[in-house]
Amino acid sequence: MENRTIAPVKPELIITVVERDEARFYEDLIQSLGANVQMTVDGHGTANEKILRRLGIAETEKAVLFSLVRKDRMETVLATLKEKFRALRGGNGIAMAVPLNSMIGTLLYQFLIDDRSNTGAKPAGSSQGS
Amino acid sequence: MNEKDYKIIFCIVNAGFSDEVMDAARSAGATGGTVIRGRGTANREAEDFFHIQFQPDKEIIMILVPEEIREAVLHALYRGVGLDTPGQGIAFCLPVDEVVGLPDAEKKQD
Repeated sequence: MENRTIAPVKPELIITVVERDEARFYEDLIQSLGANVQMTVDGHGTANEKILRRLGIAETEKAVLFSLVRKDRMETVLATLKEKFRALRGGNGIAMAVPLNSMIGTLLYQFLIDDRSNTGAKPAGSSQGS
Repeated sequence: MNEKDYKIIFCIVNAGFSDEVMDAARSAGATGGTVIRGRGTANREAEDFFHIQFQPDKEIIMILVPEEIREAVLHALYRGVGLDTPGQGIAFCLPVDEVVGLPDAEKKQD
């Protein structure tokens, strides 16, 4: 039988859709909650054209953030995002957690789950003898 | 956990067809989506074999739907913007563990 490695801590993909000018704020927020890898792309919403015209808006500019976090931090990330969406003026957004099925690369895996115990890698910016 | 089970549908179509995508999705009960731009690549040999002329400029529409309408939305997308339409669309669905920010996605009361 094929020997498959089961990851002890699974990464989870968090997809967050926010107003475009709020993207940096949410990137920083999610990074502070443990996401070592994120990608942000520009997008736009699909609100009904009649409604947009009535509001005098050309289209709704959005940013879509793809963030990878440890699954055991997922609840904290989503709860924090939910609170910000609710509490911040203009902070409307939506976030969803998508499970990952599989991946390859032990260093990549450790990077994604932020496991610094066994890599032996030096922190960024370090130098010999310092 | 959310009360409802949600899925995220990714629909990839030729650029300029996102309105048709949303018309089809809304006809099956979806409420909204987010559009991002992309660039597609295709196997030239497969293009010839399937007689498909592949357009590289793409729009990717992400549509979050409750599980109960997932199949209807996918069927509507297939009929409205499928590969044999000018939109040349494909759609696929990913599971969602949890959603926040949707008015309907209320947490269960324990």
